[in-house]
Amino acid sequence: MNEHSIVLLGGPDSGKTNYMSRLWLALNSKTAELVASVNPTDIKYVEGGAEHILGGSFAPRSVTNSLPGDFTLDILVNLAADPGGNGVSISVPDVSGEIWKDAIERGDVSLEWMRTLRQSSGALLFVRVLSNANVTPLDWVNSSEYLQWSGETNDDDQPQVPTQVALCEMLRFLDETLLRVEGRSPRVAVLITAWDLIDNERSSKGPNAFLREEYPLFAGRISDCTSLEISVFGVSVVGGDFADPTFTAQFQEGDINDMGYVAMDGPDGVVEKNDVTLPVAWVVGPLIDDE
Amino acid sequence: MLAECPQENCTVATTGQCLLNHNPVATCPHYRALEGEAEATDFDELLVGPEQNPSFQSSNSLAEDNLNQIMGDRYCTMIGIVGPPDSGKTAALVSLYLLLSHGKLTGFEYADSKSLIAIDEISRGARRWKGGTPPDHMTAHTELSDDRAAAFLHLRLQVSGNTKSIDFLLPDLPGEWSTAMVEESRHDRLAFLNRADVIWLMADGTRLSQNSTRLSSIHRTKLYLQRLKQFFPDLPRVILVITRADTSVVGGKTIEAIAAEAMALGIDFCVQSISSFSMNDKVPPGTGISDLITCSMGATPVAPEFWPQSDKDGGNRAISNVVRGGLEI
Repeated sequence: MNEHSIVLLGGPDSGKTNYMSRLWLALNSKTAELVASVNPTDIKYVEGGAEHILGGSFAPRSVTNSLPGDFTLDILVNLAADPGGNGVSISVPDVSGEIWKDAIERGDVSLEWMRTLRQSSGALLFVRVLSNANVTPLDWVNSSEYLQWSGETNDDDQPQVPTQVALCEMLRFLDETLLRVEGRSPRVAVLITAWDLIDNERSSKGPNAFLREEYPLFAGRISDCTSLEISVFGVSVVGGDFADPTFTAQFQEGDINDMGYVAMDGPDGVVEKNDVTLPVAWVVGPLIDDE
Repeated sequence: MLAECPQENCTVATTGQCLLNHNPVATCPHYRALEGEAEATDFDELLVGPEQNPSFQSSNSLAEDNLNQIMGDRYCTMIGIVGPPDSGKTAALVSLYLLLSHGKLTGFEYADSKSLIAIDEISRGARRWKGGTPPDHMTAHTELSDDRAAAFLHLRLQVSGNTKSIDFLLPDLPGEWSTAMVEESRHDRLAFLNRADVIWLMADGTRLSQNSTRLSSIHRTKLYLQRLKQFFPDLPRVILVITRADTSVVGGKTIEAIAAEAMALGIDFCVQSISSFSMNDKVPPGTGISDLITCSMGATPVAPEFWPQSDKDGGNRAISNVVRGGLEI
């Protein structure tokens, strides 16, 4: 059995903790493509988030100055299709979004997190639809006045690094640091969370089209990058928004295993599957095959 | 083993990891082992430096000395951008970046940048050249090896619907450096123009079109051409980039006068008008930028005759072959 680390990256409020908690519930249910054959020793972090989700609310944001060991799920996973086959022990540290925000602005990260990145064989990169923390790039219409007097402003008025630039930078960090197991390009799954909030017209075009429309720089970088294997997923951890009381009521009366889905671009169009483990299964697939 | 490396951003001294991925690190040609580990230990107690976080590779502007690292991997088209202060050099860069940020650069898509943070900072006005001195923001991240040398921005563009991508290197320079070349013959800081594939000579369309400034602006633009040819005899193609096309219409006679000077100097010359931003509802912001990039790609494109003979009234003839975006100049 090989041990691997899959690192989670994403800005503040990008949905990492909710996904991890929902992933834990899915692995534990043993009904998804990826299953946890043995319960991990320490499940405090994911159980905390799972409790929120099962109660009908999303988990609050993680503590900002965490260390790699603070929010890590260490778990042995197998493919459901081959339950007696090889498993892979994955360690999934959840990096606080604020840490990455600082890393992008300063170009560095603490030694502990740098070590974590260098020991990781794959990654999940998060961006959340309609997050208040998302920063759109300047444009000429809404910011024309600003653009004319740029350079004269003080630091407090400066707009922040746009989300798509931050995503490009995080992808670069991963490209620089991830382990090349057996010389292979590491896999990075891009998770667009809160996918259920996208209107039908846009969601029907698929997650890659969404990135091209919403984050052209990041979509272009993904297309150009040959040193990483990248796949994009739209993820809804429960299939709806707990801000909607009707949905919450339906959710609380239903079965958690029926809730949540992943949208993927396929050869015949967009495919939605009721299995939130699929992005992780895709990332660890080659690692399981190595066994 | 104590070690050091003169390469910018290499953290071998603190992390033991080689920037160029040499393993073992001692095989890197830049690696220098420091002698006397025991000796150093003696100093440790006295010289405990502040703990520094390990760095990722820089995403800031590239010092001229470091260009070979990029150019060694892929051919990069270097654009030399010159022009007086306030001629719209930085505005053109910002407009190009904002077009890419919104997926609106016709014919091109963003692919990569080794200086993405620098370009983004410039777009946010966080860093501007002032009075010919590199601002503090730049040196806070990147120590320029020579503050008299240019810093460059890297941008890789994908041609839409094509597998072809092109790497550009664009300098972001203070206009004062260009002025110093013209007025004081100080061209050492622009030495990179010897390596440029194409030069954008930026000229303010407003000054070229208003009666009170037109003649002096023509004169200055001609002077730029003369100085460029004088100091860089193997001058590549020069694109006269007429900015602020949203609020100004440069007359044909004006263009003709400048083009004639270029021809007399034997300069490969063409004209492109742009509107980096727009105060005019009828002219979309970013007009002409896409064509400017197309003009700047690789070899000289097969272009129509610059100033064709026309049967129309000579005083009002339009230079449609150099006009982009439906603008008339």
